[in-house]
Amino acid sequence: MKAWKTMVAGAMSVSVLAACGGGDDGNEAASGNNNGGNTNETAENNSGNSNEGNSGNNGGGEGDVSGDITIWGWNVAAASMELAVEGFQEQYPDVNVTVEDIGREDVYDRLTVGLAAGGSGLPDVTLVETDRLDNYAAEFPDGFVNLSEHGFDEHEDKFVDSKVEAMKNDDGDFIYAPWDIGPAAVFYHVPTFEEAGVDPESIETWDDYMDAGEEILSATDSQMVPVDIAADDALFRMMLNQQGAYYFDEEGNIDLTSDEAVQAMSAIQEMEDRGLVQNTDGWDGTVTATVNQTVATVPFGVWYSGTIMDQAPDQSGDWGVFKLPAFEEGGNRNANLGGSDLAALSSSDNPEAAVAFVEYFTTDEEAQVAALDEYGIFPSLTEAYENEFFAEEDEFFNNQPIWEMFAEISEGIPAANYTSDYARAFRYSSDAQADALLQDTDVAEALQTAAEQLANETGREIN
Amino acid sequence: MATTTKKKRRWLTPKTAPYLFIAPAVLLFIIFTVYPVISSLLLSFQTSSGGESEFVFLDNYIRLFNDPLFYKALSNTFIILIVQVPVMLMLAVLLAVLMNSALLRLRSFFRIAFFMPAITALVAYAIVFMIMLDENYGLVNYVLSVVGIEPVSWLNDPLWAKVSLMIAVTWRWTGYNMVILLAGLQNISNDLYEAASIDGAGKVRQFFSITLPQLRPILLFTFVLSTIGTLQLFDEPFILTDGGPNNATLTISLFLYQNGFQFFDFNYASAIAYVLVIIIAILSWLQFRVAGDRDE
Repeated sequence: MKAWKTMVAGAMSVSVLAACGGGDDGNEAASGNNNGGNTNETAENNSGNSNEGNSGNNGGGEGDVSGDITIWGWNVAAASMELAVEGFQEQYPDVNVTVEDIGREDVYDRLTVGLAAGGSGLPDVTLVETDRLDNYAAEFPDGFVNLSEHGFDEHEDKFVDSKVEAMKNDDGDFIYAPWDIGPAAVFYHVPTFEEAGVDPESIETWDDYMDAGEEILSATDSQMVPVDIAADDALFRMMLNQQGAYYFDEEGNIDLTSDEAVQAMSAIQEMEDRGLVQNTDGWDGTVTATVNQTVATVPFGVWYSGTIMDQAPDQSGDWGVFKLPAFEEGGNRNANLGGSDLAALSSSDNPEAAVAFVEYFTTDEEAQVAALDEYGIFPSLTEAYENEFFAEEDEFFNNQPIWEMFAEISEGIPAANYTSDYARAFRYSSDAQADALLQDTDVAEALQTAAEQLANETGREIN
Repeated sequence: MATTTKKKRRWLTPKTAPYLFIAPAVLLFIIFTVYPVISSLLLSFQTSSGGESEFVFLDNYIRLFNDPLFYKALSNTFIILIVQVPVMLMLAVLLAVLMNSALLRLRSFFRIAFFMPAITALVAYAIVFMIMLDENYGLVNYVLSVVGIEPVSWLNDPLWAKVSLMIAVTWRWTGYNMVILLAGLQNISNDLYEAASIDGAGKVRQFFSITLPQLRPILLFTFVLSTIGTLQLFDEPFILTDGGPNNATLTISLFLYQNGFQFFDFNYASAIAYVLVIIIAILSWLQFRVAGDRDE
């Protein structure tokens, strides 16, 4: 009896203490800080980070959807959503929207912890990169609102084909709404090419690319391509994707030992052997190499255009874009790198409002073109490609109509199956790249090791 | 009425009061330490997929002991431990002796200067190191190039990446250990040194015959502390190298984090955590056995 009372007294004193401490945790808005030094592959990277103030909310008006919703995003992606709030509120005047600009890694950490805790401390809508979608959907199948149940299926035809599949769960329902896509191309420094007398139009295959690289190297001392060898296999993924391959095949079997994979990694190894690769440290290293032109080209997703404009405003007109070289003449030159999407969380108090925002933002042409125009975030909404903005020649990019070109690339991107084990595959593939480039391991052998490690941990079959 | 007064008296007797005072701490300890410890032990015996958990007993541990990456992480951690900890402690002893010297001026300035790294914000310091060690644009390689030495691939070469980590950790923790050792030095009676000099022992002899033996318990303490710290090494590899290149700087804690928070395999991560705890317990016990107070 006595012991029992002591316990109760103790518990009470603790609850009093806890009540004093009180308060809401984990929901404070953080200002944008991105670039933890890791790989960042969406337009969301640009360190320029203007953040419009929240446009005034009006309480009045009709509409059956109402309430407050909070959205998590980072950098320019958050800013783009902020831009769209006004248009959204014209349709849904009773919904208050707060966009919180949190660092990219922070969004993921908080999302993971919140979902693992059964949905506490989470926003109503969140941004997630395309290659991480399956990871979350598989681990937390009840964490997200099933958008198909809210009629999202009617929008299916409005998006780039390769994007749509990645949005669905195993039952074919939309869990995510597609937003931006990362059509890949090669950004090149025009004066460097001119000095070496290389015509970018003549580069059609990766062999041409390497020959051009050698000419440029001997004429200007600029290396051809930056690769963050130990940490990021972006070039490898673009090469896989353009060949219609990826880490996994459609059935989810490990495809790292495919002929396409060996061919891609061998090409990168050859570039390294010929002295064309500059080993850059992380994102900042790549940007520095670009701005200082110690590299003549950067094969990356469309989002890199925003970074160049932002980091080297004085180099307007010095940059051009050509499509990724193919592996053989006439081969596919379209690939994707990165991209991100929106999800509504089922822990939301206002799921209707959350879904309404997701639907409005991803399917509204104006909102999407504004995000591209202001922040260089490229839509996967094909309707938007008809907008006159796409036909314009871009002054910064050597007066090329680059947006039209990226739209064309987008529509030709082969689909990729990222799977719930993408994070692991990315890790081991980057390890294989480090092995092949830094330690001169045989490419097939390095990829085999990666595939076996992956099979060991995931229980998936190797093709 | 009578019963209530009786109860009231019982609530706050000199016997119960101490329990009430420690109750908050005990309860918080139970909620934030005991509960997670037990819960993660249970987690380590399960696997989960698609939100459903299944009890698999030792499967996670069996998988761990068959995982080449685990051994890689283990060997990386031990290489860092074996090379870095002794070097750091030797440096710390030397610095402590210097700081303790009567000849030194501006003593408190130096003490603070050496201690500062230990209280510097971790991310800030790691990012500064990252910038300095950048292969193409870093300050360190620039200085080397001025002297005519080839640039070193500090963070991208398996060997140099380990060296960079060790340098960073040493920079951060030497001053901290120095302060602890300094406190130990000041407890050594001056009589011993006086007696020794009367007997004709030089400074070096005094250091080896008086200072080091007298410091033994403090040295053991810093040694155990540094060992545990190194076994749990996470921040530096996480920010500087992310375990790369090709897992050359993957430490056990980083391996645990990646499995838990990047691959969402909390069960496997819990198993790693338990193995790490057991390793730390065994090592600490060994250290006390080998270097502990033999007089007892």
